[in-house]
Amino acid sequence: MEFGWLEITVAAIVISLILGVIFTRGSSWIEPRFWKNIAIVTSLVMVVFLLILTFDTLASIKMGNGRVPEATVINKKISYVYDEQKRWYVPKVSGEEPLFGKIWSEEEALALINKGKMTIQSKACMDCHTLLGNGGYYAPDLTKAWLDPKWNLLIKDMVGANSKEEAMAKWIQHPDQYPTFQRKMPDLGITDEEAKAIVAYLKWMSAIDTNGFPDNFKADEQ
Amino acid sequence: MHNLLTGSDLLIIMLSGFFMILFAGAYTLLYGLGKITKKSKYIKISYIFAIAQFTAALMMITPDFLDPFWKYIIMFSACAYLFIPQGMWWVVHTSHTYWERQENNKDV
Amino acid sequence: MTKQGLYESQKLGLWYMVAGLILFGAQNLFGLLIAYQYINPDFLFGLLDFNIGRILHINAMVVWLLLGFIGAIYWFLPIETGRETVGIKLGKLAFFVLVAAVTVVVLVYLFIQIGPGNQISLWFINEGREYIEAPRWADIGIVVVVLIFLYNVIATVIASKRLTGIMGVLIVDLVALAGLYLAGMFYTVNISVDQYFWWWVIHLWVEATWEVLIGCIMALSLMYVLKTPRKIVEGWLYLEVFLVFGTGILGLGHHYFWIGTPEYWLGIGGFFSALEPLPLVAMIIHAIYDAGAHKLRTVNRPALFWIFAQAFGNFFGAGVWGFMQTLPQINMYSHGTQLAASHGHMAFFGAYVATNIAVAYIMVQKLRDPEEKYVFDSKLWKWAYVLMIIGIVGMVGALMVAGFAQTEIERAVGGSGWQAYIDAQLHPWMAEAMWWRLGFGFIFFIGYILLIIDLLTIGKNKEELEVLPEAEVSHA
Repeated sequence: MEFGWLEITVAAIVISLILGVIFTRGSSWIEPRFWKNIAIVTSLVMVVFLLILTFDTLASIKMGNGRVPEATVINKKISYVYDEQKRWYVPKVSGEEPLFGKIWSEEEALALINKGKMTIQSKACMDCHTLLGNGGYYAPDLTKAWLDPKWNLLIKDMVGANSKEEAMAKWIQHPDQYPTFQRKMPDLGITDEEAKAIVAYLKWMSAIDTNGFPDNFKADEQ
Repeated sequence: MHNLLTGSDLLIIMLSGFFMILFAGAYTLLYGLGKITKKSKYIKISYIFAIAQFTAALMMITPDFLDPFWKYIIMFSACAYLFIPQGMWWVVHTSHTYWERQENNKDV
Repeated sequence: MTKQGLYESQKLGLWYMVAGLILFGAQNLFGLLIAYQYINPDFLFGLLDFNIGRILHINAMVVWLLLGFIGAIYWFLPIETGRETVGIKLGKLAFFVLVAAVTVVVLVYLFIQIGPGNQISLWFINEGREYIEAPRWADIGIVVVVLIFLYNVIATVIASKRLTGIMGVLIVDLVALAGLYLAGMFYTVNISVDQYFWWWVIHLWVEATWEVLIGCIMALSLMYVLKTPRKIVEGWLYLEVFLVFGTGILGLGHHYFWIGTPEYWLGIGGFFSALEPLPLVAMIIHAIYDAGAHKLRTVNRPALFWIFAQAFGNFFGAGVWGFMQTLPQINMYSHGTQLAASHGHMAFFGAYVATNIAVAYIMVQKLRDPEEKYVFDSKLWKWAYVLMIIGIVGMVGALMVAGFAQTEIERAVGGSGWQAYIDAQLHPWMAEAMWWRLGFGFIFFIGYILLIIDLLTIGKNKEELEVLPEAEVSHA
């Protein structure tokens, strides 16, 4: 959209004001009618603005339109780098990096992350973890979980895996056996297939441009 | 934005934001109480909270962390809070006396 | 009308409120359970894990508040329209369907809990989206029940041939409320789209349509409790709609900072929510004026005091606790920490729980003292009132301290990684706060029990009640 947020905000307020003045002509502020018209006008203006912004937002968060990656991003190397101009971190996608030892076709990749999303929902992950910062506060944020150094530093050896994704998939299936502090994640009966799908989803999610959230994240450089 | 941030800046901004609104509420509450009970003592105390509210807003904008635009918004709010109690009292008082008089006339 | 002079609609309203208050108890119990799991994570580990307890805690809250609102409207509807509610049989049927559905959903949460990652789980077990975890079949049920309720309200207003301002606002608001729920009833692989519309349900319900619904219920309550003239109440309600929808609809932007949505939301959301406390502060004057102008003379003391709790609770919860974390530069670090939990507890209690309790007292008075001969009062309600307020303030304070520690250690310094999360959780500010929260949770729960006892007994012993002066009885 070619307009900045300030223009949008000012426009919403000014239009509400102008229409408010027009529709309340002739009534004193002490009459309920005055506030009724103001309320109707403002609510409608705000709803219209929300709808316009919704169309614009939906277009820009469509998978593959820049802010939200395509499913095949799971075949790429993802990092989180500081952008001097924006003054915040942005995900960077570069070079090939197979997931579970293979390059997934567009169809396969989409099916895989779809399975991941469905598993994340049906296991109610969001009621302990936060995803993009939303959810429960009983367990770590998963927004950039794919980039977390702990998988390579600790978990890989703990579960006896050869790669990060393998370590993640193994750990997710039996987290109660590999506690990282007093609070353990329960065994949610996640199958091998589901675990791989979750890993793929986390990798895909880490490539979403989240306006710099979380800040200062110390991403795994490996 | 992160290179400007220190942990203490973050705490200062959050806490002063918290106290800014809290004091604005205390100012409004005491002002209203003073008016309704016709005790000027409350109103005098309320002005202490008005000053405290404004000070908290100043505290909030001291760290370099926030962009100037947000600092303007905070100061605009801080100024608005100074006059909200008086303005709102007038609005509520005027409308109540007006409609209660209408209501009583109807009864008669 | 029944023998106490109640409309059928009011009887139905009473059922809704009773069901709601029972669920409120369940909400408290599951809250205590998950608060204890923060301290002793092994408690019921593998049997009733934190995520399931939390689903029950927050879903019980959403459903009990809604039940209370519907009950309140069924209660006031015949008073406002001067006639029995149309379609009351349908309303009763909907009530039983809703109670049965809630029971089934709770049993499934308790005993099946989670399913494999496929559509069947989302349709029949758990949709796994915070606050609206209810499986899809139950979503459809909720929409049907709300539509029946909406039909009853509209049909009653039409039959009464008189559309008051309050009813007009109410109908528009209920249409929006039912419509918005549909925005949460779909599945998508794209989490940004998912959360975009998820917030339409959560934010536009809680911070817009619920606020207005509460405005309507408060307007009706004030006319009853303080005999405030209709013109004032209605003018005020319109002003509230203007402020709530004016700032709340685009204030939605403060949820779109970090979910993948474009940058302009940082500005829009930050701007509208930075201004949000202004009207909340202004509202304080109105509450004081109402209280003072009437010198607290009322027919129903507990209801009046819960109405005040609402006015101040809204200011604290949404205003003070909201403002400190709403600017995007701050929210970057405070987002998704215990500060949000702190804010949520205060705001929901202040704005919504207090209202429902006030309405419950209004209902009970009509049952025990149909002719309004007495000033409704007891000793016990003050205990419940004080304990619940101390309980909530204590919990909110503890969570705030924990939230500051988490924001600082995990988010600002640690950069939100896994180890940073653990470091913050082990910090004494965080660990000890969890004990305080549990303790105050118990105090709150004792307050709840006293509240229920009081609702069951208040006004039964007429000798303890103060008789209203003759002049005021005729005025009422």
